[in-house]
Amino acid sequence: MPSSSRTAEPAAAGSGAGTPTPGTTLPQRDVKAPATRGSYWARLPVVLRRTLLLVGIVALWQAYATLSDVSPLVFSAPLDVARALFEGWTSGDLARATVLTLKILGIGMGIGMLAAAILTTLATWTRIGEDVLVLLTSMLNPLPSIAILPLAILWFGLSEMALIVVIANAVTWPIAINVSMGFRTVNPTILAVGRNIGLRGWRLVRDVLLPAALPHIISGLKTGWAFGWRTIIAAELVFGVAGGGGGLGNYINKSRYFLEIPEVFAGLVTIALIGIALEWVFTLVERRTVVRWGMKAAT
Amino acid sequence: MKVRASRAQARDAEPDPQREDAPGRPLLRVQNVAIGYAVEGAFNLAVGDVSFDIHPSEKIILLGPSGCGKSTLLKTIAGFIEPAAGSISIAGRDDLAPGPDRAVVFQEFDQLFPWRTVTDNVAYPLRVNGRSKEDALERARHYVEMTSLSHAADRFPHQLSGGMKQRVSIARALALEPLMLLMDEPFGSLDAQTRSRLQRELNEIAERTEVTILFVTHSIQEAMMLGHRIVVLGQAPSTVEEIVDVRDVRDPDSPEHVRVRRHLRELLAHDEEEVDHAVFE
Repeated sequence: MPSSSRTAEPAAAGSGAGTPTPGTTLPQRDVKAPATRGSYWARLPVVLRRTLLLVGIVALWQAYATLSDVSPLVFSAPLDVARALFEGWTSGDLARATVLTLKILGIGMGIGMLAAAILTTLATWTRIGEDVLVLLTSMLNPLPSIAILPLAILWFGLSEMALIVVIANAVTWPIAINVSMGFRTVNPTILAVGRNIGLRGWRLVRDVLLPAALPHIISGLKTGWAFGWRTIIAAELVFGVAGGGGGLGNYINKSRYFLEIPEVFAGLVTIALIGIALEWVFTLVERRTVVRWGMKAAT
Repeated sequence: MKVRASRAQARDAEPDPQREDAPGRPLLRVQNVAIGYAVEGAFNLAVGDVSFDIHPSEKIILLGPSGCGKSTLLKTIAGFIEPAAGSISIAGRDDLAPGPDRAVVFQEFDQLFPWRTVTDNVAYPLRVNGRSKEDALERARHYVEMTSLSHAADRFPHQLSGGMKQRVSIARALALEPLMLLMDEPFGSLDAQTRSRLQRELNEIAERTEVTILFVTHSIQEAMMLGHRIVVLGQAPSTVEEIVDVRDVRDPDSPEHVRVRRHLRELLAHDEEEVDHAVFE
């Protein structure tokens, strides 16, 4: 709706000079809605625009693969990729790799969220907790978590544990920063109202503090998820080189090793699709909560 | 003379003899209260020595220049701040933890829970205080109707105008059926038209519900429009300059009203002069 409200304004301002007296009915006259601005393309629905673009890109990709004599050992046509995707998912290879990656990510995120919850609780209630959180986040957040993988391998061996530690580290800090920011910026009037109506302790936290900090909590989880997703794929690629693991990163690496190029592309497409799907879930959650409540502008 | 204006005996421990004719015990008794806050290690007094009583169904206005500590005093009565000296008792109790018996309406528009609809904002505090879901909803609907909000009952706060938000806050406070309503410049951020409309509505509601109100404002017009008695505070650290009874001077065109209004203006202007002196000394 933003475009319609924008175009409506000049019309209202233009008629402002001769304001009719309230209570009288306006005489009938011809009113014309201002023409929608922009090209023919801009007037198409957004879903159609995106679909058309996607189809165009895939067509270009297919045309390049068929018309040039690029070797199938370095580049795959979209049709081959689609076939590899289908076969990978029906045979279970790709599905197993995806489930494993998501499982490790889930455990890592769980640990990271728990750590972030403990850290932010301490930081909200005690001054030393706040100091610890500020110091740790300023040191560890700028450090790409993948950089600690060699150490993690040294400590935990070529095990899932090493991956989980790296993921947990990647997600803890963005979540902790956002959530503690959310708690600290809760409108004091809302808290005063909560105490005034008789809320104390845990109920005040659950029914006022948490929902009031929800925009920050969601954006923390969103950032944490994005960090974790990128980190686990990178970590699995390194792991693939070291010869262990069976996740998506390893699937790509293994396929490259056996020169199964469509499978490499199928792995990449799967990673991108899961990324899009989770991003969409977060957007949906936001739309039903903080956007609906006017606590965050729609994106 | 209809105006019963007198020098309040703020520094006396004795209760105000002016109001001894009032029936029954006072609902709220503020005695020799001082309130301060620490700024950079120093302790500053905002309220120096204030005493007054409020009787059931009375509407008392705290009037004073900005910075005189009238909001601080209200927040102390609400239980958010500890007094540095003196005593406050409500219905004979000295326990002043924040609670729904002194429902507060703040000035800020964002005092509503953004994640609850209008009806839920009013019903939720009732649930907190032990009412059943059906009972809370029924009561909430009643007070939403009383504040002319029925058409917006299912909207979220961000879909309301400032005046409507303040109405919801008043409905929420009233629904709790508190011993008294504490109102901290609730109409201070509204445009003039909405403000005078809400003032009229508040008067009607107060008449109907006989709720006791302590109302903070710096507007003489508002004080005279809403109050039974006006407690005029001086500059910080404030004392009671005077307690002015305006029950019988409601008509804004009457000579008595004009005289009392001028008197109040002089009281406030007098305070500002003192500040000017303080600045130049």
